[in-house]
Amino acid sequence: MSQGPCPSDILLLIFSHLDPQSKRQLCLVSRYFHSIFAPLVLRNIRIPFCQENTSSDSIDSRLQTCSSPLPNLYEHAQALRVKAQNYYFPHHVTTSLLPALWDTIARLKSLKSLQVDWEYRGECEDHQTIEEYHRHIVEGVLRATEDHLEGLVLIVDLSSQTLPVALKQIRGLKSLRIAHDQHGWLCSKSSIFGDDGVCRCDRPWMQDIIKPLIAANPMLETLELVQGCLNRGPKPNDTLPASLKNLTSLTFSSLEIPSVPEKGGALSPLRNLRHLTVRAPYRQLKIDAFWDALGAAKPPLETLVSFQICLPLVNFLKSFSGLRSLEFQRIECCDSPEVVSTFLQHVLPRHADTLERLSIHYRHDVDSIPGLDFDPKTWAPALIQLHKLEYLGIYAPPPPLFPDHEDTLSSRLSKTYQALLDIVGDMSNLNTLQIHYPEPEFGCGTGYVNWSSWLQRVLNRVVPKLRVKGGRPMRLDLFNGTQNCVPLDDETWGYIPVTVCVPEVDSSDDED
Amino acid sequence: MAAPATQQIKIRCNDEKEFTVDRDVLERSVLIKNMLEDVTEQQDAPIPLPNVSGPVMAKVLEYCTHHRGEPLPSADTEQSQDETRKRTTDISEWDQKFITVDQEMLFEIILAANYLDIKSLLDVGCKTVANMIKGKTPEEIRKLFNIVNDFTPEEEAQIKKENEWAEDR
Repeated sequence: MSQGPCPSDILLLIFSHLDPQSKRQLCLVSRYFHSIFAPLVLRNIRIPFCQENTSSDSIDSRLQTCSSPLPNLYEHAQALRVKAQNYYFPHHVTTSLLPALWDTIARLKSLKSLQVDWEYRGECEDHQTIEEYHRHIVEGVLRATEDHLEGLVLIVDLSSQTLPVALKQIRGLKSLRIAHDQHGWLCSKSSIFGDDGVCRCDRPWMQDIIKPLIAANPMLETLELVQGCLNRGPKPNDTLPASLKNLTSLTFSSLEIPSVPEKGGALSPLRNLRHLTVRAPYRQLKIDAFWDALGAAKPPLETLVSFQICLPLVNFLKSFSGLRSLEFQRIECCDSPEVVSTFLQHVLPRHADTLERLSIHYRHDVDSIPGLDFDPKTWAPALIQLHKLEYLGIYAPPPPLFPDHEDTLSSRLSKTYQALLDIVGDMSNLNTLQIHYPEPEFGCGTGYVNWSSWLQRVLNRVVPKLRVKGGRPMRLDLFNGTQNCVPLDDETWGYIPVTVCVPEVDSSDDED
Repeated sequence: MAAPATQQIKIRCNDEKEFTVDRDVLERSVLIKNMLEDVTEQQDAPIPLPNVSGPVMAKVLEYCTHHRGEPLPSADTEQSQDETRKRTTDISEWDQKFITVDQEMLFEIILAANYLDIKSLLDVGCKTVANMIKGKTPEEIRKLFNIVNDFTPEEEAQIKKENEWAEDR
């Protein structure tokens, strides 16, 4: 492997099989190796000390390290993560060294992506110290983002006084994701919710942070606003100003859109949209005017994920063709029969030539949505047209459960599922069918019955009888909203022509 | 009725050593497969392989013969397999035995697999080298592969500092 005979592409292949520690060791072998491997080792970086390693000597020495010039780091680092667990603000260490750390970060001119977990979770609860922590990060980030950063993920603490001012100054972003962290900060901070439980964050949050940040970054291609105020979210004029010309991907969980669309308010940033995710149920977020505006904007939409289905949405979907992926997730309700009939008779045929993925999931506690549940009579004409489909997820609730008539239920389930397999059997590209059914309610009926276990056993009788046309292999999942839960024993595998990928379940818990 | 005879193909290595091999064995090499597909008429002249020596080719053919009939990775599956390949350094028992050769031969096989475009063999070779490197210090790696340390002590210290920033992924 001495440098002569081994070309760099083979060295890189060897490198790809190594663990991070060995990769770092390879950089130290020779100059030739360093020139090949350092750009890869230093591509993704983090702050070089962590909360687990809190001896003051160690932190001091590592901070000292930060203050020395690191030319390879400046040249190669492309992604930096500043996370609470690996950015420990050592309040017992002299804070005069912290600016050195951020001096280093500011020199990372090759940096393209920065993820900052802004929320302080250290041991110190002193407000002044926490603000100082924020100030250091803000200053460093602002310097690091000067005209060369493309992506930024922010997890912020809104109780900070420092952030709103600082965020306005970030420039040059192509991708921005503003999200709540795992603790759901937006809903938990007392400074945001008053004692009366009324949200007080929307205006300052919007006016002081999101609006100026988006306005200052007109080159944004990806915008994700996943924050907690469902009913008092950002207004379109704030989040989607006309200056956003390149937006191709949008995700939001709230949008305070007026019920009557403004004239000419076609939301021009939507014109280039290819990927859209709306993460709010219809009950909580009625955005009929948004769907209308989307129809007016005529975007070249390829993928749509929606937590709601409503008439304005299906009307928009039938107004164009070309969708590749359509997913309805956590659906709670469907406000009129017209929605389903429009969906089946107009929307699916419109996208039949391009649709590769179709998925309809209900919220976990929803047993049935009339019309949207799979019914061979209504669904077959629409489904058979989807000849490009590769993945189908559909809701097929079992008939009502009567423990005394297990064979009847088994037979009826067989018919429903076989009808579905007969339809999809003609779809030559389909490789996965996921059938959803509701989690049976615990303890209903007479006496104690473990419904889940009982239904699983019934399904276990059904699945071996199922056939796909021509014996074509296909992945079949039976999904109860949480997991695939049909227990199959070794014998069962021998019977079924479908490839069933489900975890084995201990059959000893049958209790009926 | 006798089964149709498998077509035999001749190849010539850079040391003039010639092999006559069943076509399906040789077609484990994408390079040779493409060459054969480009030739419309049957040719008796051996295919020249100027970058491979006879002893190395003998080892490569041993590998190809053992794995004959196995599906070649298609363009579609290649990408998904790529990630799996990178995550594991597991090598099958037969391949492990096959690749237990001296270091010079190991790198010759890797270079030949790269030239002949035999991805699975290239993987086996690279994984073997990766396994040799794992857990070793830079000095041990230098010793293992006879590499000269051309860093100054200052440069080495600098790289150690920079490596502390590297994310573990």
